Parts: sequence; structure tokens; C-alpha cells
Amino acid sequence: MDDTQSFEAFMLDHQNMVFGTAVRLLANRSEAEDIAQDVFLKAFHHFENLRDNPSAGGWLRTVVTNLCLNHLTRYRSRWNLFTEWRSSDGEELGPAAEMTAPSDPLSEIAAAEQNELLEQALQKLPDSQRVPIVLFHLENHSYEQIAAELGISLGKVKTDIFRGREALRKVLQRKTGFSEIVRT
Amino acid sequence: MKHFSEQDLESQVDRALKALPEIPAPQSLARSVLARAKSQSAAPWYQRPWHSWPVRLRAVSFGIMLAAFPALYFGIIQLINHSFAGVFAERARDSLNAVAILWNVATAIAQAGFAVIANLGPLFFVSAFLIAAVAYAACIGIGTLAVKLALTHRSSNPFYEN
Repeated sequence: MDDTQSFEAFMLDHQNMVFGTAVRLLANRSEAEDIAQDVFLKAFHHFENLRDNPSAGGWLRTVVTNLCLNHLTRYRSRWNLFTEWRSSDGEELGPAAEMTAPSDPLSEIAAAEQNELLEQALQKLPDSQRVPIVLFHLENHSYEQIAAELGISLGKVKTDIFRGREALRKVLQRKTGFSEIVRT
Repeated sequence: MKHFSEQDLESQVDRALKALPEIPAPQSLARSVLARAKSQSAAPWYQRPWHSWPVRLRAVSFGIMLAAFPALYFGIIQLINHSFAGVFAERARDSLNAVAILWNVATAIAQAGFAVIANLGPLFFVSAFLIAAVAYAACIGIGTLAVKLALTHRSSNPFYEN
């Protein structure tokens, strides 16, 4: 197997993770694809070191996260000021989150459809809530790490994550039906 | 409808998000990356980033760069010690001539200005002062309003206060 073939195999192994992380951080597929391309080009230049490295996946995850955060802070904020006036508390989540819970809790909804609803709700959250939630729950970063990465206070990180979870509440309630979990 | 407590909500969100399936990358991703990688590899060494140059070229270029600094330093010293002093003196003399001409013109304009001011009454100066004060206050007011509006809406950092 030559270098190109091994790199292609390496890319096929990791491309879903890289692309998925970028999509969830950016909530935009075409921007995520651009970022994923940049990540793999970097990987291509360092392939000698990554080829048999067991921590290559972690390296890719770090690079894609950093590139996405750079993208969000450097580029998107420029046009956000003029084009995006979303509710800061994330109450407007659109049809995915606004659908009412089924009257029959035992009614079966396909798992794929439920995941799609959650995925859509996550992507409809404003950047300020979605990014900390993804970093905390999917990338396993601590509150302190997130505060440092985003350049905001620890309190704001906690508030944003709390608001984001609250915004996902409706979808989760629908996903789990009338679960055993009750307000304490 | 029953609701989640805060801690339960956290663990529910955590479980639900971790259970989400992978998002499949588009088919075009691998092709695009390989095409870009191939075109970058095919580019001549001088169009590529320094870290991807051949090792021998990197070593040579690094040596040249190291040698360039002392060469530049000694070159400048030599220039100053020999020919540069004479050239500089001549340039300075020319510049001083130009400054003298400018000084004469500026003096003539200033004298004309003083003559005009001497013929104007105090009412003119009071009016001019008032107009300047009002314009200054308006600038400060508009500037303050603009800053307040900008800070109210959004900071340049999208993760900062909404």
C-alpha cells in the first residue's frame, strides 16, 4: 500500500468523526466540509508522524475543534452583526423543537427520526449555547477549559450551557416520552 | 407533562448527545482532500510552505538566513563608515534648502492671516467659538450614542454577552 492509499484509508477511518464534530460546532455543512478539508490537509503534511500513532484521532479532534472555534470567532462574527438576530435564550428552536409530545407515550417513533429531531434542535441553538454544549458533552471539555477557549467567564459558560439544555428539554421529553424522571 | 430536574436534565442531555449517531461525511470530502493534497505535492518546492521543502533545501535556506543577518549588519556598518556619510550630508543640505523655502511661504501666509484677524470685530470670534463648542458637543454626543448602541447589540466575540 503506497502513501496515498494509506492516507486515504486513514481519512476514511476518521472522516465521519472530523466532519461530524465540525457540523455540530458550526451548524453549517458546507463550512464544516471546508474545515474538514483543512484538517485532513494538515494531517497529510504530518502523515509520517500520524500514520501509526494511536493518538491520531485525538490530534484530529483537537485540530478540528480549534479550527472551528477560530472560524466562529474570526469570520462568522463579522456578518452575524448584520444578519443574525436570534433570541439569546434560545427559545425559538423552530419546528423540530416546537412539535408537541405525542399523546400516547408508548407510540413508537423511529429512533433515527428522534435523533434527527435532537440533531436539528442542537443546530438551531445560537452559537453561544451550542458550542459550549458540544464542547462539554461531546468533546468532554471542562467548564474551565471552555471558558479559556471561548474567552468568556466561567459563569457565562455555565449559564449558556444551562440555557442550551433548557432549550433541548422539549426535544428530550419527546425523545424519552414521559420518562421516569420527575422534577425534584 | 413531567419535567426534568436540573441534574437529571444534564445527564439526559449527556446521554442523548453521546448516543447520537455519527454524521456521515460527504462522498466528495475524501476526493477533494486528495485532489488538494496532490496539487500541493505537485507544486514546485518554492511554492510550498517552508516546512514541506526537501530537507537539504531547508538546511541550505536556514544556513543562508543565518549568514544573512551578520552580513547585513557588517554591510550597513561599512556603508556608514565610508560613502554613506558624504551622501547623507549632501541630502541634508538639499533638505534644509527646501525647509527654508517652506518657512518663507508659511511666514507670509501667517502675516496675511494676522492682518485679516486684526480687521475682524470681537463678535466674529465669539460666534466662531460658540459654533466650535456646539459642534464638539454634538460629536461627543453622537459618538457616545453609537458606542452604547454597538455594545447593547453584540460584542465582536460571538460567545460574549448576547
